[in-house]
Amino acid sequence: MNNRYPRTLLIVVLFLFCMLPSLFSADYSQNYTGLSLEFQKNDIVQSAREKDYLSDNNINLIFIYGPEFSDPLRFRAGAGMYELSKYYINGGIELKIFEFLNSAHAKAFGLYLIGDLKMGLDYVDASAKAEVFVPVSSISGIQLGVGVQYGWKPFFCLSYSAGVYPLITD
Amino acid sequence: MLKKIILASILVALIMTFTSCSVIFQSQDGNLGYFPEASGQPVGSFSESKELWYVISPMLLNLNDTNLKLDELIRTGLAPYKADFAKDVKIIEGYTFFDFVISYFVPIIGRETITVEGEAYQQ
Repeated sequence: MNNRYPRTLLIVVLFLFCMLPSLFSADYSQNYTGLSLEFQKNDIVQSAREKDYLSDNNINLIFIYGPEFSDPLRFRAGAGMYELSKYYINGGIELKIFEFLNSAHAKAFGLYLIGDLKMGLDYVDASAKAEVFVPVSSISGIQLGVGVQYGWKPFFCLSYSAGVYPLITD
Repeated sequence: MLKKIILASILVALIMTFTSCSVIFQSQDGNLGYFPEASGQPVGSFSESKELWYVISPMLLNLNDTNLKLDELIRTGLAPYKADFAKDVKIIEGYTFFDFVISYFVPIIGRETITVEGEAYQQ
């Protein structure tokens, strides 16, 4: 009786395999496009000790582009400011660990590893972080992350984020 | 009290998460049907697109019901051919780059595009 299950499973897998061409229609771009507005609270250990939660933070607006050839690696470019006064440009890479898309091919859930380099006239920083995306609407969501800055200082990051494989219409 | 607030927040988050993942498609007046025995002469293919506006998710607050009026899109696609029915109908839902920018920068309000493609037939 139990020998029927592997055969059934095989049939289901074959069926799904046959469905693949129709599921991944050519109507969607194969290049990922995303945006992220990030708030980063730096050196959270020191801030918690001193109960100083409003200083030592960054705000960034990042454009994320993931061409098909580099998948699961995506590229990040944007700008930001430290403590609303020191401006810089931001470049980095994002590694998709796993990601689920909704029926409109927008990001629905995911886990990412991100490396960033911030460079300005009076501000330089490098950081690495892990972020998880949770949807709050059909296209956008909240991305929560933790990471370390240059000097192994831990930080916390909260982002308003969205990403899609855009629909291409004639 | 705090426990109730946390539970309510989790419930709201779960509802938003699940409603953000699905859209229902249907016709306005039941004109969308499956008739495998229908036969006719193929006269061409069509592709019609229309925007769908919503608040948070089409399942929560739909502003123009494009996903519920697919027969309108099919009828528009058949009109140039003076066709009677469509076969091999394909419904595609997604965000164009413009939809994406609007939906991202205008919080809560969202816009996506629904495309209906198919083959037009005359009887």
